[in-house]
Amino acid sequence: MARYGMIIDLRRCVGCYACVMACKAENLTPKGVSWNRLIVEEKGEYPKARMTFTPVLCNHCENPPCRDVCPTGATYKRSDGIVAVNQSKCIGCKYCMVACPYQARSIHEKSEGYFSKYGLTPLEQHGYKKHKKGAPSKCVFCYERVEQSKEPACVAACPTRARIFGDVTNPNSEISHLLEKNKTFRFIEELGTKPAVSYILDQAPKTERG
Amino acid sequence: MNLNRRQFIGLSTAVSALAFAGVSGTKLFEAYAGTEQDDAWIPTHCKACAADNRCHLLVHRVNGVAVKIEGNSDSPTNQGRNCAKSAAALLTLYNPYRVKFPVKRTNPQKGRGIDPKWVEITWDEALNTIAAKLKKVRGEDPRKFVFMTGHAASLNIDTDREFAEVFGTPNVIVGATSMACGGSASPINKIVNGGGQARADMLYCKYFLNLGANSQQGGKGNSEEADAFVNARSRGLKVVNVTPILSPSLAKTDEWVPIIPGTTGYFLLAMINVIVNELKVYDKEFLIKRTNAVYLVGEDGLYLRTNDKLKDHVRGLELGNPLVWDRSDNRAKAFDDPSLNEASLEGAFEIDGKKYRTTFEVLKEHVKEYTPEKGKEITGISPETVRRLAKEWVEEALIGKTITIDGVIYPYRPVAIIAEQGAKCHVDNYMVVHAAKILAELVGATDVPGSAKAAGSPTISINPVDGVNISEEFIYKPLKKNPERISLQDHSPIPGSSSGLAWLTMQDPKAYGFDYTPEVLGIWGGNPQALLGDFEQINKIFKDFPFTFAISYEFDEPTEFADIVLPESSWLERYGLTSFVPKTSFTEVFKTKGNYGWALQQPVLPKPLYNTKEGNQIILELSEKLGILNGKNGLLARLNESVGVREPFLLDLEKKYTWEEIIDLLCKSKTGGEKDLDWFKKNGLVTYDAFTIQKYYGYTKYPKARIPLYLEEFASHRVQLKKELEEKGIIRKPNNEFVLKQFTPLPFWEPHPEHKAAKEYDLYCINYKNMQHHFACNVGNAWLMEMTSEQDPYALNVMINRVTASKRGLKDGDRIEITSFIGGKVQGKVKTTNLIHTDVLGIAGAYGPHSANMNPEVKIGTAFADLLKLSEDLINPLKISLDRDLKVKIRKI
Repeated sequence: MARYGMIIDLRRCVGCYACVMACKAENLTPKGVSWNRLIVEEKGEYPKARMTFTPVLCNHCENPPCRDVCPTGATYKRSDGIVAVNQSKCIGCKYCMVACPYQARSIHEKSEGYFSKYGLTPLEQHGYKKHKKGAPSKCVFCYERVEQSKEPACVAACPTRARIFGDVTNPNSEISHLLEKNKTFRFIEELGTKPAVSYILDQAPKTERG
Repeated sequence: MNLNRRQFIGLSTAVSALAFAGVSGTKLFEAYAGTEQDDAWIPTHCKACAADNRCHLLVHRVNGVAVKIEGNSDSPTNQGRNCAKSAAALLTLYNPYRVKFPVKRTNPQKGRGIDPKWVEITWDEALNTIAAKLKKVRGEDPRKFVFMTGHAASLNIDTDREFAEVFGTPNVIVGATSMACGGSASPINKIVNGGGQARADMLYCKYFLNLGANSQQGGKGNSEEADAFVNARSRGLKVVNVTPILSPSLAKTDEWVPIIPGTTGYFLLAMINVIVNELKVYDKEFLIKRTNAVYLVGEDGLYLRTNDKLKDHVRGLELGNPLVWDRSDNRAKAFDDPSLNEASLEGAFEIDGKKYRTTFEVLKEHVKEYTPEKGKEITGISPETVRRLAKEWVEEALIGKTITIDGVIYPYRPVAIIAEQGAKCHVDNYMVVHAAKILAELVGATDVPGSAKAAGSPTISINPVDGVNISEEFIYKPLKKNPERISLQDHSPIPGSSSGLAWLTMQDPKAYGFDYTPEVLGIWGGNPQALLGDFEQINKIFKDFPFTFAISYEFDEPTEFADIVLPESSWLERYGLTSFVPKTSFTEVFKTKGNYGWALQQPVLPKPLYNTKEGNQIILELSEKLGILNGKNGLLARLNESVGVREPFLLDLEKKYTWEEIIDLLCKSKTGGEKDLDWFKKNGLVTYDAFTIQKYYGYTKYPKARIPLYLEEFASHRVQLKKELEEKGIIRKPNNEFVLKQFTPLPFWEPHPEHKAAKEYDLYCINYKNMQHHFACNVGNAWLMEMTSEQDPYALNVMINRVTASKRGLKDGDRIEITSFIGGKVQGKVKTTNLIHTDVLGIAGAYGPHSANMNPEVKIGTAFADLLKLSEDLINPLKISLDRDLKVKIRKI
């Protein structure tokens, strides 16, 4: 069985927000909900300072704390490693939001859409069917796309191919090659969550990648 | 589409009887049912920015609703990827704050933020009213109609100039040029590189000296260029940014050299000085064979020529061939004399008792005064840094090295310099770009692998009299005694394409010698209030027009001065056809997928969402109402010459066409009749192998081209212009000398107005752009604005250096008032940072729109343009664009 993971090569990320918006558009997440975020920070002192970009999303942990605290089983781990949410089972207790060390969850509390004065646009009427009010939601690695052999929306959109998605159990996949050839890091590994999302540091040696 | 139009229109008509159209709180989409069963991917090309429509998209439509926009993987340019702007365009389509139907104002009062209290009218009433007003002025004097066009949300503008021409007015003006506008770089890019835009050849470049261009997130924010940049870095490209700010689009840099705004010209001249007078390392072979560096000029700055009388159409004179000094024969010969053996690059020569020098020698003398030492005070850059960068530049250029590509040997000069956007939005904009080109030419890094080159395949024409490249924008045009064009282009021998001066002349046309006063203003895109600046003056002009109509997608500030607004479809509801070629590099993708092609832009819904039409369609209908559509002097005849239709697909001058039908003829014309609109609707784009790599580099495509190091035509133009101004009694503001001074064959630097501001204005303030809101038409997009306000720490705030902020007792979130040395005022929220020069404030984009009927949630951020003021001494008189660097003072509020 596949185990899906993602590598974000920070050497290639130019902070363009394409991933953030691809996620918004693919999943039609409601106002105030962003499954895919870009953290923009600064490192160093003037004039040697640099702006850094770190895209973050659900880490699809091998040991997901959000699943462990879910009282109804709404949050579950699929056999391919994707941590998904069955919204119909969600009772909105928000334990998952507290448990997630990565703050990957956001809650859909407003239902009036982006243009409250005018009601929901046809686009929002179409998209918000998938989003239950009061249920904390998060990135699901676009599993519906993955099941159709497509890349997650953020990966497909990335103008600089900074994001690579694939099966880490397949030794021939691009992601396996990259994991093998590059020094990577994962967020807050000491918690034992075993995230499926890894990063190549911006300062890592430059290597050619097709 | 399933928004039930009848119900919708009926609903809004009923509502407008009770409330005003722009402000009604109706649940607009309640009628939406969504019963139509379909599931389709519609190919179209992007129009979310003006990156030449290069990105190709697929729009997913489910049951009549456009639900997702993705990149089209057939495309050799964006290769299936797409940026935030195109992904967010779904909300540009479904934005309920759009102009949804024709409206007229009921509030006669016009002003910033004043609600016109729009009410809905029919298309017939709207078009008939506009046609009646236009007919009246056409009968009196067609020049009284001024048509303002521009990018804004109206990027499909294919018929504006043609409409104005058949109407009889010369007054099509560009609404505004922003900091980002490449317009002022384009004439120099054309004459040097053979293309309006220049790009670093990212496939081979190893050292990139960037001065103000947003190279990293794509020159115009597109995927192809961002990818090329990142690939180049992974191959070891070194990036040096010499800029006042390290904005988000410059984040990936190896070295940052902070520079005081407006001093790039000095920095470049100092670099040139170090190279030619200290290091004395340059590409002699290139300078001798490929430039005019060896041409001889006299003390008047003009070429020494043979006595022939050949027609030189660039200068409008009869002239001989320029001479060079043959050192083996010790005498002057025509530049193309077959007996010429060894042309001198350096030296002064006495010929017939007069002194002549090579233009290279002139350059060497000219730059001597720009010492790195003196520059420390001016640019804020240490002399050591300038010398080190100059040394790096000549060393990294690998002078003498070659590279073989597809069996052809090229000079290999992997150094590129681009001085665009921020570096050239000044009174001396041409000169900054020219200085950057000289730096490149010195090491032979022009149009060869690894250097800056034309974006795409170059197109060069050569002046047969002097053998040097021509920029059609530099061809001398004699002046008219009384100007006709409101932008005063008749009073400039090389009129720029921007129209900053129109906003001055329209304040008092008689004072500028016009014998008419404009009476009807048409608006189709362009937003001078948000992008050019000086909204008070501009709004006064807008208010004074007896009648104004707009073709608009949204109620931006210009549109709110209209009397009637015609609703323009969003870019996802329009037709267009655009070509594409490799922009930065001839990559493997272009080799396999084809390097040239055509892509269709098409409506993604079966019918427009609202009661709108595309702008070109509106122009066709308006022309018909005015009686200027048909016949040999009509719009269709003019479109036959301009839109690209060819025999046998020319428009029948007596027929009536929709814009869609014209695009069908265009599809056939561009594919030799092979592919029609229906084919493109299904397939989106067609690619061809149109040229080889040899045709991609100017070096091999034009082996005889000589690139000007020295713009001798400017020396010639200056003499002619001086004479013409005197003879015709024309006085240009602020004075004729100011205008004449700009015609200089070699760039110079002197302090700009902001550098001479009173001491109390102790900080600079600059404008920068970011990728997500590149092109101001995206500011109204609710997804992009939500993302920006939540995730971008800079865009909506005022960037100030951390040390400077602490000295002034400022911290993040403090509110400040900024007053510019020319009197503009804005407020903003402080964001302290290490990424900006200690003397500089940075404000992004064109935020903070001021209009009554835009989505209130997008009306946030600081409007940089409100700090600007229009006056002739701040406008480059050649390109007519406004200086956009300011001195300011700040106050905590």
